[in-house]
Amino acid sequence: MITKVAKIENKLGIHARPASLFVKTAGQFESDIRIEKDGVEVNGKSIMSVMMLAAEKGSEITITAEGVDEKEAIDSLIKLVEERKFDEE
Amino acid sequence: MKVRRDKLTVKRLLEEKRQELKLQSISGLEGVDNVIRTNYLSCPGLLLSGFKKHFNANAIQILGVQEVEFLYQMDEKRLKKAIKLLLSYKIPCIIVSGDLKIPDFMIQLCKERKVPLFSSKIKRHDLVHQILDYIEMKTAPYIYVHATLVDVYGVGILFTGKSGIGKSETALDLVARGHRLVADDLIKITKRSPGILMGHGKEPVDFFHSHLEIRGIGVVDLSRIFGVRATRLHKRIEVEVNLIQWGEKTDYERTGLEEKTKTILGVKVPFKIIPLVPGKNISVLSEIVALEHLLKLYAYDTPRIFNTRLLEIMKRKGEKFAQLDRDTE
Repeated sequence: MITKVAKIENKLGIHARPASLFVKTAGQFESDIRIEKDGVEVNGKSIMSVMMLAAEKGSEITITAEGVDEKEAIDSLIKLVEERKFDEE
Repeated sequence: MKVRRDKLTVKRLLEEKRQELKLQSISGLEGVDNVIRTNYLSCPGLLLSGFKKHFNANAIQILGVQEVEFLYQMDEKRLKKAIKLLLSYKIPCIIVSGDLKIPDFMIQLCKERKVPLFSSKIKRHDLVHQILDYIEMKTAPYIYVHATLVDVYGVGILFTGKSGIGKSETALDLVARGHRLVADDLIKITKRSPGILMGHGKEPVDFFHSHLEIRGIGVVDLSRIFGVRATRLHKRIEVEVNLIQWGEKTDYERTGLEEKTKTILGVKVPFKIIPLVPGKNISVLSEIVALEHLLKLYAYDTPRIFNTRLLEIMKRKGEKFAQLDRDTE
């Protein structure tokens, strides 16, 4: 199990489009993906859950991956959130 | 997919519309095999006055009160010249509207040139509308596709997908739930302007439209089983639902923000891909597709509205939205 904290860097936060990107990326891996924010933990492969976190710019989410490809999963997801900023501003 | 167009002959127009258009043959029926090659109608007033440019000889020529009176005020020489000019072209047929008296020379020349000449009691204005509608319908481009067409809450859903994926079963289930089958297996899609696709089954539609084959059972007749409400003869196609096997594709639409479309005969149609898994109720999903389509028509776009509100919530982080702590129920 790997857990990492990521900061939301894109201006609009995790709205529908970024959430869709997140679950699509998460869905490429076998591992279970969970996201925690403000004491709520959700399934990282469920788009409604991810959107319901309402993670705005500047907030922090804790991503946990658990499974055979947890390392690759967490790297891709952290990269998507922090480096690629969901390919948004 | 091969785009086809039917040839429309004067004979076919006559067979199908003679009564409705109140057509009376004046010059005999020679030349009824002439093909109507355009859905334009020509009122050859300018040609009769001698102006030949842009004259459309492929079109049905409609003579109204203006053209006929124009002819009658000419002296015989000019009248003959004008009629000869009109009949020097290979025109499909002439229709004189409003029960007007036709110059004898025109009748004579039409016989000679084998151009069918008709008289109708209907006024030109109404005649033009009726003929235009008919020609447009009969000469519209069409294709045949392997699909199933069902009217779900008034929305025409075209189900596509591989043979055996469950299109007919989906249709059957939808009909059992109160929706109406248009046709199964072979759908003829006709493009009606502007940008409207109509779908129906194979002719004779009133025979084929209610039959479908269910694997393991055989051919069933839905209008026999469920009555007249179970089927309809044609329906505008508004959405395509593509049924696929789960796992064939992995990047399914998740938010609904991206509106995929499919182009059929140059018309864009919303396109949904639904993966099949055991236990998934395709009928309910199809009903949702139809109802969401209707909501969009009424300017309620759920994914967009959801996202706008989500963005607002993120902006006003920390504000209290609902008084849940006071609600103890």
